[in-house]
Amino acid sequence: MSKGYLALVLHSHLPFVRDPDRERFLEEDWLFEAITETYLPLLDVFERLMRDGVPFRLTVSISPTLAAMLQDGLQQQRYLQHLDRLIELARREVERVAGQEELAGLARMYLERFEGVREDLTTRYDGDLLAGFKALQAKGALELITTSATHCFLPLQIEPCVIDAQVQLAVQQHRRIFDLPPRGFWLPECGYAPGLEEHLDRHHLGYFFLDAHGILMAEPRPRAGIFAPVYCPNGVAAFGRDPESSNAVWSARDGYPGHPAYREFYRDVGFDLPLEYVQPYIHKGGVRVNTGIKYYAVTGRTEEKRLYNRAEALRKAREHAEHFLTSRRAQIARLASRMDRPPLIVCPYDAELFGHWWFEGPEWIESLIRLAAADPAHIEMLTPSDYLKRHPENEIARPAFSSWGNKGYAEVWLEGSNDWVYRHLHKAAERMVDIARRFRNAEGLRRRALNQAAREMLLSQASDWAFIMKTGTTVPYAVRRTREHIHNFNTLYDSIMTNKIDQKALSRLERKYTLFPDLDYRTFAG
Amino acid sequence: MTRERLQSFSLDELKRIARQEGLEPVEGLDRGALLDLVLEAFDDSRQEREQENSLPILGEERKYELSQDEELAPEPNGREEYPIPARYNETRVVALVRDPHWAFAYWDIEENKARTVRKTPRFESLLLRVRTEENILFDNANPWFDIPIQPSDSGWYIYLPHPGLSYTLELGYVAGGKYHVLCRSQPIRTPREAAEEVDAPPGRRAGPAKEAEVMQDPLERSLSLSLESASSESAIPQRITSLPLEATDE
Repeated sequence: MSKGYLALVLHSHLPFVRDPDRERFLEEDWLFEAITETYLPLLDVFERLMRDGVPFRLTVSISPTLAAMLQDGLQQQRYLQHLDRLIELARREVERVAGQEELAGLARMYLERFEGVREDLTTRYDGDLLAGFKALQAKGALELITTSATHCFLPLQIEPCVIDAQVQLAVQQHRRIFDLPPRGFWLPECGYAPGLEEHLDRHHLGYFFLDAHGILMAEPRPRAGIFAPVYCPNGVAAFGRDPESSNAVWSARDGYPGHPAYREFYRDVGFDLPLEYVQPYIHKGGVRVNTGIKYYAVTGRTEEKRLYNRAEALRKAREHAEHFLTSRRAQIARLASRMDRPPLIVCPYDAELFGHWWFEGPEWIESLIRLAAADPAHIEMLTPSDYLKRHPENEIARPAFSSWGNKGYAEVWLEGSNDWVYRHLHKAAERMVDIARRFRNAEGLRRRALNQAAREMLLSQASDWAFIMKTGTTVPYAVRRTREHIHNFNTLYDSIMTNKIDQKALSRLERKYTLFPDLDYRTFAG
Repeated sequence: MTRERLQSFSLDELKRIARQEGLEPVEGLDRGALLDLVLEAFDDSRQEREQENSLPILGEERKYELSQDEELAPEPNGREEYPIPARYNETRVVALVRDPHWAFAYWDIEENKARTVRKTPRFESLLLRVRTEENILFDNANPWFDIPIQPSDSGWYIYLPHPGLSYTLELGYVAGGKYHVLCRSQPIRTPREAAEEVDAPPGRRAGPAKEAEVMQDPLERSLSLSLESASSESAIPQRITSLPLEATDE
């Protein structure tokens, strides 16, 4: 049997949702849910593998906005409050369902999970779970990479200095948090436009990922298709996503996550139990939200769901990991005879898919790693850096404009619901460059205002806002955040130009949007 | 959307929500029927929205899902709280690539300039001229084509007939049969169309037979797999017409 490589890439990202002025708000739960259901369970899997001496290599991208939130004292504190409410709810659930054997077991499972999360976070990681990722990097298990500063969809930006700053600030922050410079870069939404590699090269980033057709439509067309990287003419390597393996994991209908044994996402006690009972644990005003306590299995296309059976679901996750590996082996066997080296299969996913949406996802990854490690002669898991070290010679080609969005281009982020933002984003970017050049040696209040203007402009560029406007969840929030940052930027811009800076208002913004505390506006002068 | 959440609204509010969803007529319906109707409409519009989404997008969407009731979340969208200008009073046109066949353009004309233009003797029309420097002639036998625009327009999707080409947009006007340029966009380049490659025989672009072989089976398969998601049909109605008059460039 032939040998091949598997590069699993987990991209973790959430937009900057921090608001010291609001006690509890809906969107903060994005972060809280992801910590409880994805980030800590993944760390748990990795730690377990380390403890058992299972070698592995995985690429994890952590967005600068997510990293900033995970290290933020206020959000750490709020998360613990959130977790304590959840633990209280789980305790009440254990009491409520006592005597109902299966349910009681599940309620206890959640209580233990949440208490475990609290224990891990406070004692093992001392509140900062990035320390966990950093330690795993130091031990050689993870390769940590970054993405654009505020997860900007880069093909729709037109100001080169600002695109460059999106890369530079991300690299700077990554280095500060993780001690090592990132070797690679996750292009948000796999959004690539010819020329972006120049910015990556300038900041010593050796590789990036793009969707399959970005490579398959490259000029000249690469002989190995997506099963080997290509070098852009400037030497930065481009790795293409394998659609076949991706679909098995992404698809709720045809892929693994939709299996009847797995946990059903939509049956949450936040919706299933009487309002007065769940009131303290849902959103204010009685807006029901997911709590994370879910007792039912996918079951099938029926409203009559059966109870979740954890042991059965875990067995299934292991079977699916086996199936995934068997499919990859077959894929490799088909490819190997036509290539001059072992084929590489690149599987990038959003990290938040695992655990949050696909509850058993982290255990699937664990099984996958264990099974692959037990049979290294056939499939070797590695990172892009490992690959490039092993195969430094690759074809040279110019990748094509592409993304992993609908139909493969930019239409998710550029359509009727969200195209209005670009007039404002581009104007703010242009003005930022202008004031950075105009006031090259600003001091004091003006300097602070320039730095904050840069933060507001960057925050307005998050791909999340346009994405949400298009896909239709929490739209008013996305519209408001876009307007807020553009408004804040414009106000600061006017005050800088007229030298009438409102110190109190500036301080308020600095306290609210604390991202990139070391940011120097002169970055934008080019 | 949950039935319970809808239950919490008064009949009048329910009617308002129903109308918002484009459901008419709602008068005369009892509460239960109205609830069914609204629930179904929410479900339909969600399915419709998701139908076109690629798998990564569907997956990503779950990340932002917090509540099944968020369609009605009474969140302010910041219109009053965070006013932003509708435009920046400048003469500018910007083009953005959307896919191999479509670009989005937005523009603005400084007020004084717009007034002067409108007062130009024998002023006829504002227009966008889509220009390519490459060796391509459009239906009008010129390396450009024109799209007449109204003074109230500020952005359009533009159909670009040839993928894999560089384009520049000009914002201009015609007065007395003569074309005048107001400003130009930055150049853009559309990607080549993935679908056109599918029809081509394998290895067509490359000489060596070896490459033609490589294009068989698995690679070919993964190519067509990825192309499924990369076909560039579009739901946006085409808004492009050629100006009948002969345009002379300044």
